[in-house]
Amino acid sequence: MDQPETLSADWLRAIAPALVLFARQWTSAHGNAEDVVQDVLIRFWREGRHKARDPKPYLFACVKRASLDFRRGESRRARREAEAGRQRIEKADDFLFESAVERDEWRAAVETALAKLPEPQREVLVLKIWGDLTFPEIGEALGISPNTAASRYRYAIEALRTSLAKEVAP
Amino acid sequence: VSPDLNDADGLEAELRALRPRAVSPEFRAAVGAARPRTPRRPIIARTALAASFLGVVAGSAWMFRTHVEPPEPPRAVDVIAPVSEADLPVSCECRVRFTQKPSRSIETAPGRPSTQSDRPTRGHAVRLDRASTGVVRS
Repeated sequence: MDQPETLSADWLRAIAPALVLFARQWTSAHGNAEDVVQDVLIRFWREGRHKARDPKPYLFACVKRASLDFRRGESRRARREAEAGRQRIEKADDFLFESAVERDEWRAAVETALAKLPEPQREVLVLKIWGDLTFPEIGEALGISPNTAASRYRYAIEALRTSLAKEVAP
Repeated sequence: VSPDLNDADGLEAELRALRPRAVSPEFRAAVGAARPRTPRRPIIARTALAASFLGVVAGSAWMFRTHVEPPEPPRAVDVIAPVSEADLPVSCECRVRFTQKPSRSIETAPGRPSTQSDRPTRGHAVRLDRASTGVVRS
């Protein structure tokens, strides 16, 4: 079955930032996450789009697999570079979210709190809030039951609330 | 600016309000170029579509042809001036009413006997205007 919506430019514009954000959990920089998502999308259009029953969870699952592969390769690269005496340059503006200047503090607090979450909770939270997936879809993407996805989400929100309360406390 | 962290719905809404960072133009260009376009219709479907389109056009033309009759020339049906051929003056005034608005001005042929229908004068051309009623002067 063909899925024309997965071919449209509007669909791509809507889903790409969420896919990149999801990939950022396992990649060190925005550019690397974009590379991972780009590879996934191209492979999806060439081979996978006819196989996927529901393209959205399928794509997020592919992005996770590709990001984990990339991270393994990245750590090997980092080791080689360290051995060669090169320093990795961290970009100060490598943020996860767009925000207005007056909300910059809140954005930074959310990014810090997200980084502190356990990975299973963080990935569910990202898929639910920014990927706009339902719990059954999250379950399909991560290979867990919808109930597990829902409980991880509740834990993630609670942990995030606690963490943010400390971050933004006056 | 920090939200009310005790409100669960409010916290979710605040999180949703944070938009994930936009992808770079390079990403959009690369992925956009690789994106396959919506597959074209198979040749049979395309031929059927073209044939049905032509059918609709031909059918419309036929309907138009059968329903539209050639417009009748406008006729003056109420002539006040004398209408007998013998008494018809060189110049006369008559009131005309068109059964149908003429698409353009028409001119009666000179030298034709006058009748009630369309030629109130003899030997003079009469111009019938587009107005549905009016007075025409020879």
